[in-house]
Amino acid sequence: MSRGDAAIEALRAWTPEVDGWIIAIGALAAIACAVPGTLLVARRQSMAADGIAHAVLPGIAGAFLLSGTRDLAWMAGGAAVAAVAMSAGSAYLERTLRVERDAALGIAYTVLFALGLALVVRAADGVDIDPSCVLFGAIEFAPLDRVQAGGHEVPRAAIVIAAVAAANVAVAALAWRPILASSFDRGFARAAGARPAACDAVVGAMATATCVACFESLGSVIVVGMLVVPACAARLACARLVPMAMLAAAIGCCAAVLGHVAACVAAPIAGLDAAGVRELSTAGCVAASLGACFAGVAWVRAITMRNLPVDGTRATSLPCAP
Amino acid sequence: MSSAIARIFATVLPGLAACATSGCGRADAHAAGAPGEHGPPRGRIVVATSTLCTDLARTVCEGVPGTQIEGLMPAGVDPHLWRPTAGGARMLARAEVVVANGLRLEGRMADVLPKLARSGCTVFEASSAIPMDRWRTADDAHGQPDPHVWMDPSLWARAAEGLASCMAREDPDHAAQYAANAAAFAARCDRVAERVHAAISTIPPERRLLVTAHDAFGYFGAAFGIEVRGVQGLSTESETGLANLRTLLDEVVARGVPAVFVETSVPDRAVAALVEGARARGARLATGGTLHSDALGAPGTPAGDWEGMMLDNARTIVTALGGDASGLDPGEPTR
Repeated sequence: MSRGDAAIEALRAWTPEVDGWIIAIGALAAIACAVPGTLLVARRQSMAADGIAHAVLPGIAGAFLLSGTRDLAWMAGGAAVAAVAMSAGSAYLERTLRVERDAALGIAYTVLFALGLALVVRAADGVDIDPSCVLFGAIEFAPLDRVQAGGHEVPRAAIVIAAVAAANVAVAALAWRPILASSFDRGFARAAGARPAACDAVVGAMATATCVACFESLGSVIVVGMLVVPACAARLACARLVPMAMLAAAIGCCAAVLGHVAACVAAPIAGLDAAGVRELSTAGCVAASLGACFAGVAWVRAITMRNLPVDGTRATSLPCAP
Repeated sequence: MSSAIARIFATVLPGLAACATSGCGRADAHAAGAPGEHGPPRGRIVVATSTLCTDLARTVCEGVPGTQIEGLMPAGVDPHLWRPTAGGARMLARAEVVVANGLRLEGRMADVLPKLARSGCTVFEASSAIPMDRWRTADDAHGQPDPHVWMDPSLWARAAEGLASCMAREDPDHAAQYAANAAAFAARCDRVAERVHAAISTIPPERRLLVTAHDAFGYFGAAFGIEVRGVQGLSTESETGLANLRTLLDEVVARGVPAVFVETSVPDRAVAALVEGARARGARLATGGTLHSDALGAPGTPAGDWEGMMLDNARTIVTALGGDASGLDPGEPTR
């Protein structure tokens, strides 16, 4: 059997109730991440996505150690506390000690992340929380954890992530004007009665909720990629925020499909299946596919830019302030 | 290459469409996505986690028609660190019975096993068939019981009996066959235990110290009267303490133990450090061979099933520590 046949054989083994849901959960995560991701990129705060995704770890681990459960309310509460601590810490460093903004974020979140890792390893000694699952997720097993919803058996992760995606869209729609104004001109927004700091907090809260919802399946490291990479790719192609968010969601969905396909076919194509390697980690392959999608969008943009008149280039890039 | 990619897409796209149209519900999408992959139902599917659990399930279900055993972990894989893959999830999703070891041997599946049990799948944990007062607890493991129960033949026989009664509840028609298989296995366990015990007792008493890569041989040591030290703790995930390594080295050198052992499923770094340390002190210490601790060998090799593994391990240990291993030769049938 040739390697291509082996790869097709691997895909034939797909079942809707496992592989279908793995892709669906990945796509839902992409949609949930698209809203805060786009806003953070437009506000030039994509480093904050990195910060939040890392900083929720001590919150989650601490809540687990305190409560002894993996109840979503505890996890979300702990994550919120940690995200606030991260924002407050980096704001303090920035304002009081005049540390540069990215550096302040870097200090705050690496310290919190290290604390979180220590807590997770501490928790792992006693109970069933596993450091590598927190970092890389276990999206493969997410379809096996089902609950009854509307007469169907639906994975719990899919319901949680879909709820957060809907909440993100609703919040963005409700607070659209102040968020939009404060994204591009904070002075104007303040003069117009919108409070930029409050908008920062709303966007940060969206990103935190998304990280908490996704960390169990995608893992805390790969959530960062889902937040930032599709939004950056979409920004190369779109001038307005709404199409940018929609394109980001579409790119994230493509990466979810490509990633799971790659996870299943990479081992047979590389000839590793003879050595006993069956599938690669889906979360890892999704992150790699995000990079590939970004490269694809950048390539298409480079081709179209070449054919545009010189003054036509400005229209394709997002006007961005401050 | 490009035609292969085109064919992959041709396979994926209808599959995705099938997933979308069926709402990712139950398995009617096979017809669209994968013709001929799953034919008529092939009977009761039993999925076992580690290679030892797969072997136990095969033994207990031997000769029962319509029972299909699938193993989740490939041969030679460390069950403490084995990570879920999509193929494994697929296997678990169609399992009716899952045979696991329990006591956190399958460290990264600890989450998923109770969820499977809640969704109506029968989850049998071999360790739960063993009375709790026979569970061994290592001194430094925070009260965590030792999961390596298959190393004591009398306990593994209990596990087989437990699995037989679990299978009998699932499939009452063949209850007698399961019970007969378990009884035959228990008799084999007795014979293996006798032979291993006899061979171990030929090792000079001061050399009866079994040093292995991780603490997997506690039950073995207790059953056969040999002291056991692991360089790593109960799980291969735990770290090696430097102080622990030094005390171990002191003991090995003081007692003149000639060999320490590596394991097939564990990197041999820590054991190599021990051998180096002994050489630096001028003591003669060698790696005495490779033991099968948490995973069986490939099917068909001497350590490809539980009985072969026990005899193979005992032979390696007894030979390296200066005993007489002639009673363990594979030529003598035990069946």
